[in-house]
Amino acid sequence: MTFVIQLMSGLAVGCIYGLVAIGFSMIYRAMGLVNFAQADIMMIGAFLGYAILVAAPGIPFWLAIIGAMLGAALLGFVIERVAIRPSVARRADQVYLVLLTLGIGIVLSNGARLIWGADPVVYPTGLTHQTLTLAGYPLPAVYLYIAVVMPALLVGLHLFFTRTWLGLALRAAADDPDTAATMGVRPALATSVSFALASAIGAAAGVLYAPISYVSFDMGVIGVKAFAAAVVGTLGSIPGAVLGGFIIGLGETFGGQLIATEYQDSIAFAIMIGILLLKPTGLLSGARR
Amino acid sequence: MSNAAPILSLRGVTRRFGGLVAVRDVDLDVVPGTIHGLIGPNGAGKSTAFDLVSGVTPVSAGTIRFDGRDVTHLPVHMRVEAGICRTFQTPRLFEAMTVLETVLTGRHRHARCGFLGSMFSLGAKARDEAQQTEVALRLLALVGLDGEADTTVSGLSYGARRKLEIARALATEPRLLLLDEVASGLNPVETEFVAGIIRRLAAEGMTIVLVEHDMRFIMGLCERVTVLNFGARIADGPPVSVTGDEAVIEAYLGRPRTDATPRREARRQHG
Repeated sequence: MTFVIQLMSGLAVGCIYGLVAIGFSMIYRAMGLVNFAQADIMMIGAFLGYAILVAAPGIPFWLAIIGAMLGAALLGFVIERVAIRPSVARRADQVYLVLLTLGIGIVLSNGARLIWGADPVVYPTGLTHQTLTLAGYPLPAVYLYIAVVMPALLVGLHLFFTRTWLGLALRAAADDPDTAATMGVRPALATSVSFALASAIGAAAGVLYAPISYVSFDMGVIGVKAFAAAVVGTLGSIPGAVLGGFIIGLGETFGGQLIATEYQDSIAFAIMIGILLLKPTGLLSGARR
Repeated sequence: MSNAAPILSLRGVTRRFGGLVAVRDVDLDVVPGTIHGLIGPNGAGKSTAFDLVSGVTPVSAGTIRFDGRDVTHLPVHMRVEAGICRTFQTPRLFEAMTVLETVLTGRHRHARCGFLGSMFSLGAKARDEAQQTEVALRLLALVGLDGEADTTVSGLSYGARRKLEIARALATEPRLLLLDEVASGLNPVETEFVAGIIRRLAAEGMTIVLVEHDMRFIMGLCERVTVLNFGARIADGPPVSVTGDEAVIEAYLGRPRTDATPRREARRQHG
């Protein structure tokens, strides 16, 4: 009985980590940068979903997801234009760029605190307390959304990268920006689109996570675990991010059950350290990206 | 020199890397529709000259005009739009893509639907995609890779990589094609095949500049040759006159022994 519930909850939280990890990986792949603001963009996405649900009570949940994704995509686009690109253009060192993303994260989290307050908020939707019974097991209804949105996003990303001109240009630029430029691909295009996409995916994660948890300016801390997931599955690999998300999500859920739930975070990192000791470049480093 | 206005024209182009002058005060005119060779011993600055023309490296001084327009400070992707495309000394391909996808990256700016538009209007997208794929397949057939369209790039032989890079460059529909040591690493059959492609492109009106080591390859193809040595232009003209030029022979073979001039001094005269 508890095993199935644990499994479902591990998979669900694994999906959330995986989605945020995809954001880490996409930006890393596009510009070799670890964007530590990724998790705070997820947090903003969760708040955008909250704002939509408050402003339009009764609005379908999936519209809140899409609205939050669009808002976050715009935010990611602006962040890249206003903060990242000028620093890259001035040839800032990677270390400073990473610090810059940390700073952006702090600005976002304090900005959210200023707008929505320091107290956690709960989504004003029936979904928050709703459960559905699956084969006799009571599960949070939002799992259903996660089970639909996650594969839909993965399929969408795959089609985007293989079937659109923009996706093709992005792959070229991520592989070798200088050569892509000799094919007429504007180098800045890849970075701004990657930021917008990674932010939108992060926002989807935030809105999906909100009903199982709460929404607060400091919920970005789960980004650290999503980062662990991205690293476990090899930074830069999208399938790796998904795999890493499941490993961390299931590992911390079952590990927490076996030892004690308050050690969940430590378990997540113990898994990351263990895997990196065995395979320092991550699980999917040999595979094609 | 022909009376046609040059399609590419370099004036006083110089590139310094720290204390090293890789390209020194080079003037160069390329007549439209011709095959123009850029030769010189190792380290003469040929590849750097290509980097300057394609925009991969900015110039330290001088101007580059393409088709009457000053492109000296244009970024790489805008020079492609203007009609300049290049290949690299060592093929630089996108390893994880298929052969067809690789050529399509060169087509993306010709795709009729805009980037985002292509995601929404599915009917037009399908038609456009079919059209672009057709163009890409035609280019693959031209370089003899039409059977490999779905092969992943990382699995290609060296010769196939060279040919694929040519097809990818052609996909951008350049008016000026810069080929950097396109015959190096190819066997004689492949070399002759590539020479055939180059002749065909020139016959269709494309202007081609070749950087080459292989003198025979260049002499058989080019109508005009420019020789660089230590970054400076030492000769320019039809292949026959250039190969007879004393400065060129000296640059390639060194000064004859009987002359008894120490090499170092000879170099100083040119440096």
